Amino acid sequence: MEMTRKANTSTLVRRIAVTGILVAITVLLGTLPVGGFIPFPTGVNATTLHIPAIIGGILEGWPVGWLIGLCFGLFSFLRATSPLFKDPLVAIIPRMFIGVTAYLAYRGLKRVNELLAVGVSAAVGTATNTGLVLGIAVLRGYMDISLAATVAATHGIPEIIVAVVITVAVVAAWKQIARRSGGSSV
Amino acid sequence: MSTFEFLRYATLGQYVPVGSLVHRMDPRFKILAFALVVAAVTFSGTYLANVILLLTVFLLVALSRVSLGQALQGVRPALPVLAFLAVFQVLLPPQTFGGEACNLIWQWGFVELTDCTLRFIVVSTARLIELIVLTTLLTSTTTMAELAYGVEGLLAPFQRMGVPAHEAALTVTIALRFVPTLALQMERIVKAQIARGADFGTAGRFRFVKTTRRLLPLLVPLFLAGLRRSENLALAMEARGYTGGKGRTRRVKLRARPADYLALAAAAAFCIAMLNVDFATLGRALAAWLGQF
Amino acid sequence: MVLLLTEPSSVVFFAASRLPIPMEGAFFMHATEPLIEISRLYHTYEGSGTEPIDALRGVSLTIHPGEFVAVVGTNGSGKTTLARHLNALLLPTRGEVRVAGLDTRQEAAWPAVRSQVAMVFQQPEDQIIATTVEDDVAFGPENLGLPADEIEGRVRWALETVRMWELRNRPPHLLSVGQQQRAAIAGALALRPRCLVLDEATAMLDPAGGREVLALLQRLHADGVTIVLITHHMAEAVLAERVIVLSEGGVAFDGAPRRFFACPNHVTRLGLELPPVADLAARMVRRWPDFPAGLFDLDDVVDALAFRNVQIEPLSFTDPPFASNGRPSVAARDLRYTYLSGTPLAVRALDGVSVEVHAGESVALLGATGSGKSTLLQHLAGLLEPQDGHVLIAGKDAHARQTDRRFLREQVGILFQRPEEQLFETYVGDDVAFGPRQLGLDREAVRERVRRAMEAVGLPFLDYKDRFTQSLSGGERRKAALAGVLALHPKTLLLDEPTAGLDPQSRRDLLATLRHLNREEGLTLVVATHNMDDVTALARRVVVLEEGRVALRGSTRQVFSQAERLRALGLDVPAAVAVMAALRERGLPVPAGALTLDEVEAAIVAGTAPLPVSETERGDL
Repeated sequence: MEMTRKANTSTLVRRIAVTGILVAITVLLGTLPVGGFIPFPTGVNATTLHIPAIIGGILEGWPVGWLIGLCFGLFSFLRATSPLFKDPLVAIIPRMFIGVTAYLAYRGLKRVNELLAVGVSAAVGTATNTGLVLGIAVLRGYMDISLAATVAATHGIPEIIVAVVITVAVVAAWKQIARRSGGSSV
Repeated sequence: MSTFEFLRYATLGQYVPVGSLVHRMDPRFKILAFALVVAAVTFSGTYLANVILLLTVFLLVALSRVSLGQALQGVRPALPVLAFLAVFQVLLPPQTFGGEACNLIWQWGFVELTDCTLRFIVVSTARLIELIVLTTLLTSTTTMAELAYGVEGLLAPFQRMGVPAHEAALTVTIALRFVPTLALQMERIVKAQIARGADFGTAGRFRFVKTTRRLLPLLVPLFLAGLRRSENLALAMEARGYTGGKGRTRRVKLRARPADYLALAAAAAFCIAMLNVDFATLGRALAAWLGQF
Repeated sequence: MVLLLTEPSSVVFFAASRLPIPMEGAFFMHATEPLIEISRLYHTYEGSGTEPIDALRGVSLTIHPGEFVAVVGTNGSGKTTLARHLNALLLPTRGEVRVAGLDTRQEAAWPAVRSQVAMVFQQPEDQIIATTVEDDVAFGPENLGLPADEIEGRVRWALETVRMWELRNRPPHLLSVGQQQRAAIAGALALRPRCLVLDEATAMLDPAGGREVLALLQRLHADGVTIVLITHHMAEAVLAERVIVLSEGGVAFDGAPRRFFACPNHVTRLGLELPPVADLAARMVRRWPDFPAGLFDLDDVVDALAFRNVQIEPLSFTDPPFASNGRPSVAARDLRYTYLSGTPLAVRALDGVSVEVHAGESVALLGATGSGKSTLLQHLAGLLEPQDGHVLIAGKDAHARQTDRRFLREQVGILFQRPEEQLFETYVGDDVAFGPRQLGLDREAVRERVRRAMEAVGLPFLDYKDRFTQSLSGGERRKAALAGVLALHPKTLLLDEPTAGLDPQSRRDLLATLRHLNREEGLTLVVATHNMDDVTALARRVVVLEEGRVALRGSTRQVFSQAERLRALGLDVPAAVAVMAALRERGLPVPAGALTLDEVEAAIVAGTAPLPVSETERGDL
């Protein structure tokens, strides 16, 4: 209903509700057999679990992005089945920054072009996730630099593409951002 | 996907109401104790330490009156990963951990197995099992509502410093409450889109964008529905007078009993011990002593 | 006794303008202070277009404690906007709203306002925030900062009032929609408000659930709670003492329901429907101008009919037999299916169901919640694989390995509950085009299919194709979702509760579309629904399920003539049928088999010779 967008709800209440729902979606993507990752034939599975944190950061600001990221990290830690992600420093710490960097990128570019800002923000958030996770993994001794770089390329790039496509689709539909063509393609 | 039934997947860590000592713990103390034991596990890299940890974990399983089968349930999916990682580690050029010298144990062609690598593999496996079982224990002995109360209770002292304890706990509550609901909605969406001809398969080797776009009919409605619900939720919360954690009371007051303090103290002591005892030396001495027989 | 009413004077009806509206309330002495006072309220907001929208234009009214007020009006009349001003969820652009003397524009007043005026919304699920019913009901009192035992007491009282105390430990996703809404009401009651506002709170409920809520409201009203009921259902408005009719942002009527429904022309001109008894009375008035106007109660109508010595012709109503041409379009043979089998939550949804639907037919699937309707539909669509039995689509086994999935999709389309959930594109045209594009059609063919589908559902192609999906109203989004399915050109269309939650106008549009597609273009329909009037409008044949088995089947007339049996199965009959049963109970020989008020009217008219109209009477008209 259009009504609710003009409603007299406080920012705090709105943010709590959005954060709760987006965390629920994160958990859902991580538990259901579909939607949590996009399998590519090269054997790479691009995960989508960081996307709610990015969307939260774009739509409601850095505190929401931070909290969703933290919950994503906790969830990732709790249900991890590989030693890498059973390390709380690898699973939790980097994830807090996903929503924050996404927010910053979005704010920075919003005035230039909103769709572009959303896309870049998704890319930045994903890169933060990949970069920090691999970085701490290297520091903790789980892998050496060269391996990390390879993973960054083979996993990181598809994940950026996935995040950009999905985030732009969701945010454009929700905020009713017009495409350059101004309408549908039919 | 001819049987959908997403609800099957959406129940996190089956709560089993058995009523053991661990079940009855004040959730705040339970979470803290859990965190302490996890810390102990995370920073223990020796054989001996992990033997002790494994025994401790299984002791806790017994205390919680959770069946061993259920406790180990989470480990099954991890086994293939572990096997793969073990092989992977062996194939890598030998690494030193912590700068100590490594001795070659076994060699086959170009594959070298050092004692450092072996320890890493064994210890990683042990740690993983310990963490998985601990996590399962936590979720099996605590209801979602208790978890939220526990998180709120733990953060409450920091309210003065600006940490929004109740707000964070409410977020957790909302998230937990909506997982099954959104799972059911997701199922409807998937069915509707499949009926419209959606195909969620891959589009080809490097067609990243195209493959991703195939999942849009699934993911976009999920987010949109979630965002719409959050708007309704915000309205309902405002209408019932929510203005933040200040001035709120709670229906249920958590009351810590002496047993809770004891358990926490035990966990703390355990953690400190595990992190400070020089298990490496101790282990070697023990091995030497056992070697006599 | 014949009620002689003059044609209701223009005193009562005004267009939305500055003329003062005398209210029934003004004629009574109120000993107490008004609870809610609204003075010259305007509310304007930015729409998705360039023009700001005036939702409310100069509304003034007063609500006193203990009243039971219904607020009705078409979509866009401002009902929800008005409701949300009552607890400061919306603030006036101009004008004033006072609750118990407090000005809603003062932020400091909001906590007090919201603890005195509590609100229940349309979507039950989205009001429950906690993991169990009990915790959720406690949310309100906790916000008030009450001591723990007071909270416990209120939670218990609220849940017992709504008769949900036994379910207090249930998580919300395991409750039926009706139970969820009652839990939400309990959550509002726990605030111990003086006034309860319900914003279309029964829209998503089945008839039984709606009745439970209305009964609850009447109990609360008897206990002194002020009730403000925003609704589309005139049958509910009739239960109130006072009805406020909004039209284009202004008050068009404010008074007793019977006065409003006594003027059927005004009612329809405002875009609203008449409750069935009033509708019947209005038809009588149209036939015989000296029939007493403004009748509202069934007994009064019966008396008036008796007074005029009305005979009812025992017309027999039958439909022409349906000519089937061979093989069924879709068929289920002895289906069995259990959800979550093997887990403690296992539910046996289908237990040996066999159904056949032939090309061009329209069949309704009825049954209480949990009877297996949705499950059966999903099997007929080929989405679920039966654990036992067969599903045949156009003669082919739906799950045989050789069967082409694409072929199935071209045979059968399915529209789920709340199909607007499936919209994912930014623009409407793209979403409708999704299905055809997936079929691999070329650009021209896709465009043509989209155009035809959109026109068929009443969304003009050029106007709507470039609109944002999220900017459409609920009814429009549902039409767009239907267009998306029609664009696949299925031969059979399965629909699960297609009109649930729609406002009356959208519902009429949708039924007209479906009827046209079935009668004119031969689209086979299978419709699962709770709404018996939908059944009358669409279906020639009915299958009734109970606990996964077929309990009753036959032509629509046959099935609806068994009112007792249906009630035992947890179902209603259409409003017209209920009226006729009531007439029959009071001694009027209404023929069995009439389904609509048109038919009842025809029977009455056929049996009654027109009374001679004298010169003087004609002159008075």
